[in-house]
Amino acid sequence: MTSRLFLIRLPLLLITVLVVQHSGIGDISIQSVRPDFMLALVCASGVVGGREKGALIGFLAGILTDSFLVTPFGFTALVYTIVGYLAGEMERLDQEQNRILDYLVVGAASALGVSLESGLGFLLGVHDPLRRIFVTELAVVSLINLAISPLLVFGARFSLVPQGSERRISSRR
Amino acid sequence: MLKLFARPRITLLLLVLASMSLVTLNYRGGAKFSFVSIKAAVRDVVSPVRSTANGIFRPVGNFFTGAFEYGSTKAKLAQVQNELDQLKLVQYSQLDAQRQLDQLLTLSKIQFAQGIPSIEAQVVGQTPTNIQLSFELNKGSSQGVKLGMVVVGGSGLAGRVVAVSSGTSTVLMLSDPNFVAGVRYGKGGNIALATGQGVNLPLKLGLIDPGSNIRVGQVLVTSGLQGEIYPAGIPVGVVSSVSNPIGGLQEQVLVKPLVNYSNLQFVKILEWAPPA
Repeated sequence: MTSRLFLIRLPLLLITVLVVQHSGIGDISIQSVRPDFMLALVCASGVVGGREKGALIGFLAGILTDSFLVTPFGFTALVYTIVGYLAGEMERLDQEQNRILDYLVVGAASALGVSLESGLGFLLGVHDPLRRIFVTELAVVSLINLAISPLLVFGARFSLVPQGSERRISSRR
Repeated sequence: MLKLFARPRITLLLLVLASMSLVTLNYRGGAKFSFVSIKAAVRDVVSPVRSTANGIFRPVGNFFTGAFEYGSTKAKLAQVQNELDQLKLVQYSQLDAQRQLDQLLTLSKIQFAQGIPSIEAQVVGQTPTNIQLSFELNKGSSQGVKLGMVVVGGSGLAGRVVAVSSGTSTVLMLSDPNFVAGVRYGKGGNIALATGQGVNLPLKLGLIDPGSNIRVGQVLVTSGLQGEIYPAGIPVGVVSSVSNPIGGLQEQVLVKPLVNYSNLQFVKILEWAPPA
């Protein structure tokens, strides 16, 4: 994939997910909890692209998300950067591509993201980790992200992986 | 040593530092490093695309919401039908009461009823995150909307403007955990504090001493005390449950907001500033 294609596909993917999150689909609530598609995209990008790309895409996705929130600018960027990096730890596993494992990691990293968001939010005084729906939020966001992970892993692979290659783009360390 | 300073870790470190710098500038930068214009620019770019996508995805979202909440939706429908029947019965008897109320409001000096200048706006979407419960309006700074302005829906208080761009503004909902408003209840106008608890959850009422005269069904209005950011007399919600835990220092009171965000389409932004 040429760098030009990467520069077109990635912003397109980010904007698409942002728009979907802020459209009617993002309004769906299960047990008073809304899905977090942007977090799922960050996790999928980490799984597909590795630690470095995961962190970078997490930062960009976080900045975009922060633009629509009243929370401190950079708060979501910080959370997504760390989540993207940790999801990218997948590249350390010395094994061939396993899609089921990729999807599970997206779900688990989403749970980590929700926890981190609550923890950091508590430190900054914008979130209460002990609020009533925290456990529900953790479960619902993780399960929804797990359910949509095939779509987002496909999207991340389309944006990050060179055409014709089925392997992750990151080098294993 | 080499592994410690591997490229991904340096990238992570730089991005974390960048994020933390942004957060720090938010808190310490003051007006010099305000990110409001950046946020507004991003919103202005994305808003047209989002409006189009809303039209496409809204039915899909409604379908899934209906599927997931079929039971509660059916129960709500039955409840609404029942309430509608009751309202039809009392409608005519209330016409006279309404006339009297209008006269009383004209005579009294309630700020809200005296007619605060307002801007009509349309709700163009909700902010679908679990961190912040807010919705967006199609009016912004170019139409005169300013930070802190109070927003009222069809039946009561809907929220407060917390972000403004040139063409849109964001309103913090009553249900947001950061929402706090001073309210009055009962004939004596007792004061309490209403706090949001989350999506579709009732407001929590604080500062209610055990044995107070608060009852289910009482309507709460904003107190409008000095320093309060809402004008006095705006209906906020109806007391939905009152319990007095053994040994509790205050009664546990839950309040159902009067405004229904799921079908809120048009609102009024009150051009009102809290008294100094």
